[in-house]
Amino acid sequence: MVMYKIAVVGEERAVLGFRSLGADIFVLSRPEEGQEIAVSLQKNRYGVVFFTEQAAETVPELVEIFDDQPLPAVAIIPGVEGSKGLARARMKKIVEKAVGADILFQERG
Amino acid sequence: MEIRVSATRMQLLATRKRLVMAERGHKLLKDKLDELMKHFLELIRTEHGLREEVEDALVHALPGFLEARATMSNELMEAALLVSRAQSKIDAASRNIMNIKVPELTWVIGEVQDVYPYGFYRTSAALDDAVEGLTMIMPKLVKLAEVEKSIELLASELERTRRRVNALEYVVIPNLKETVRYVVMKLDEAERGNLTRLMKVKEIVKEKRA
Repeated sequence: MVMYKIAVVGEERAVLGFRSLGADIFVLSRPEEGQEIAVSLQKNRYGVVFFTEQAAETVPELVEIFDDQPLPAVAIIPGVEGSKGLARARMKKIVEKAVGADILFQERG
Repeated sequence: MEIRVSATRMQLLATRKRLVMAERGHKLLKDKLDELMKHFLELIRTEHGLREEVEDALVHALPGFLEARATMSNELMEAALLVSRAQSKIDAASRNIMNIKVPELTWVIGEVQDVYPYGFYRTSAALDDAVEGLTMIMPKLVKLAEVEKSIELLASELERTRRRVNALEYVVIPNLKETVRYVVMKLDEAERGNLTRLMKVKEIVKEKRA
């Protein structure tokens, strides 16, 4: 049984709460900080990395760095402003790539 | 475009063998693709449900921290959250879907009796609620991440398999069929040429005897 840590990347207001659960938090407010965070995310062994929508918007490449590795699992979570559908757009892109057509989301909007 | 081979009976046999093999491979890969797609769609459906649930819950939980922040001083709030003894960990196992290793994650919160990492003195009730709300949805969040990762991994395998199926179906198999046709026609033509030549020779021989 291998234990991994949890990381949360996002704006301070949104990630603060995860602190109470013992997750590692990375505050991302400017795009320049993305590189640094990417390095520390890769150096540590994380099982799950959460990005808030704002972080995913600020540095979109950050979400993709683990795409071809089995771990960590990456998920986009809504920030304090509520969901803007970024996570859904990401899934849609993946489905389109795999199937060659948008098969699922068209009827659901 | 057919594959260039010399038009001999041996080549014909070899090409036919390759064609049979390609067709068998195509059938197998197509079955694999169907099965992958089945798992994929199942995962997508799970993801969709989970995503809705999680986003709903998070949108309710996160503003709780803002509220708590409004009623407490910044320093107090940060101090309260920083002293957390809670150790969230992820227990990772792996599961096999169609020979693709996908993670199976469980959220483990290590050895704490209560999740509130701070004393109740000078912290607001809103903070308690927010922390509790977050704790409640954490397992779902981790599950969501697991499912999304699985979808990603399956998607790339799906794409690869689809490419191979298409390559076989639209390139390799038609090419081989064309080649077989070409060789058969060449051989038939040679056969006909041979026949007429023989007939001609027979005629000449007959004439000489007469």
